[in-house]
Amino acid sequence: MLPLLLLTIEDPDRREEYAAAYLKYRQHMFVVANLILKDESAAEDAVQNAFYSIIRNDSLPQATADDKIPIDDRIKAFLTIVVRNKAIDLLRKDSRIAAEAPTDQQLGITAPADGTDVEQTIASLPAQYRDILINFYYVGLNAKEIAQQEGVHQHTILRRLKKAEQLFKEEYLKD
Amino acid sequence: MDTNLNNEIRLGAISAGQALAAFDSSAYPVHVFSERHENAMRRILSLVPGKKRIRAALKGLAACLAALLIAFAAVFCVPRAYAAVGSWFVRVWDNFITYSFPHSESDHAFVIFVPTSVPERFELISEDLGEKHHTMQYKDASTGQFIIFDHRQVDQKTGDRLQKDIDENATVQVHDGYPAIAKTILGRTTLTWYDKYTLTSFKAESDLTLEELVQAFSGMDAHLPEYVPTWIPEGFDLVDEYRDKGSTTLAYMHQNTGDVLLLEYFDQAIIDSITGFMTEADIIEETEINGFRASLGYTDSSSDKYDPDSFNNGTVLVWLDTKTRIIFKVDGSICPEDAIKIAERIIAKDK
Repeated sequence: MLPLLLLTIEDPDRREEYAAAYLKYRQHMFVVANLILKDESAAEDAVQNAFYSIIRNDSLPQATADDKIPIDDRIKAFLTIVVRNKAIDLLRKDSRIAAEAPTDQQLGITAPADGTDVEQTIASLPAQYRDILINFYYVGLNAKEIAQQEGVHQHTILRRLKKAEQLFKEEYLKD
Repeated sequence: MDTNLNNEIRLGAISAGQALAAFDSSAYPVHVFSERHENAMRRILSLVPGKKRIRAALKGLAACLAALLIAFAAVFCVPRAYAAVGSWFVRVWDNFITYSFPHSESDHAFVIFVPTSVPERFELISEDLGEKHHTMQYKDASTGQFIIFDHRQVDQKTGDRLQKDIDENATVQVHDGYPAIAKTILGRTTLTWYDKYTLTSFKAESDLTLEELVQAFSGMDAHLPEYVPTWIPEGFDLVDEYRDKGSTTLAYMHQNTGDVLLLEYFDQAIIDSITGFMTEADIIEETEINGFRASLGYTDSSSDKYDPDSFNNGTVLVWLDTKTRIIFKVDGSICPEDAIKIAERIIAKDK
């Protein structure tokens, strides 16, 4: 428990990265949360919860020497996933707000309906499995980092990855 | 799953990630965040581990102690609870075993360090790696400037003398914060520093300015050799591979069952604090891997402690290669025979 309480970010450069990410994407994160919660105050809470969880796990994606995908895009996708999940958590907790969470398709944050077969298959996966594939292949987090962010054991993440691959395979080969 | 399908999954995930990144929120009205929110965010982003954090930690510690006190009081007042806790403690004590390895101060392995901040215009032109020393020479072809980096392992007495000299005369910091002595004579700058944990003395010499040379040696990485298993039980695929400073993990998963197999190796000279591993294995045996003492832990499936849904049913095999000071660990849902077979067939990648 004590190490958790003492968890902090001590690297000044890293602090600047977090502050910059917050300033750059807070409007974006708010919009995503508000689309789900339809409540400005609750949407602000979702943004706070998202950042708290990211800072606690120090999981904000970092630029690497061989980045093929721009770091800004990776951070934006990652923050979108985290804030969307935090907003849905709040939605489920708070009965005063409408209980039904909109899907990513309804929010317009997944592949368009006329996308390729692969895009449609990924879009059809449950969010839990789609997120893990995006975090792994696009955001560039490894299983250990995803596990820390999700608060689960890395074995669980590896199993979910395997399950996501199986679901994709079944869905893709069905057509 | 075939390679094409794996590639499709990767492409699909990238495409889905791009869709998330492309979501345009600027079409929505700009939200003016409330003061309450901005204050909360300042607290969240307030990253200096100052008084508030210490206060929170102390509060947490006090709460833990209070909870422990209440639990102890309750247990000692109720004899049945006392007996139950006692038997639980004995069971846990029997099951948990800590592996430990010898770690002699006088028997350090030589750790190869590589500077990570040398400017890109410098090209490595020569490298000399001996049993206890490593020298690298860099040159900038356009300006003719050079950098010579040398580090070598010294004995404890020399190291103590160096440390004393550095403590008294250091004026700059390099290598992620190590104090260093800087000298500039006739346009030639020398930096000297020392790592007492690995008994390594470092020296960097160049015709760069002091500031440039300090910057060039601000980052340093320990070089951990790469190892690969040449045999893995049938059905397991490599699904993840990650490297931290001084440690590497290869994660495998069984195609059909989803069972996980992890191969980890650590540089003991760097990860000084890791001198043992804990397991819940039912049976612990001493064995040998390629001539090195090893500990093998597994749970007998006929044992009453065997839980078919537990992750602890697998086998864990840990050993220390005393020549390279690298600790290896094979941990997964496999039988002890397979763990040993994997271990005996691990080779350095460049061999």
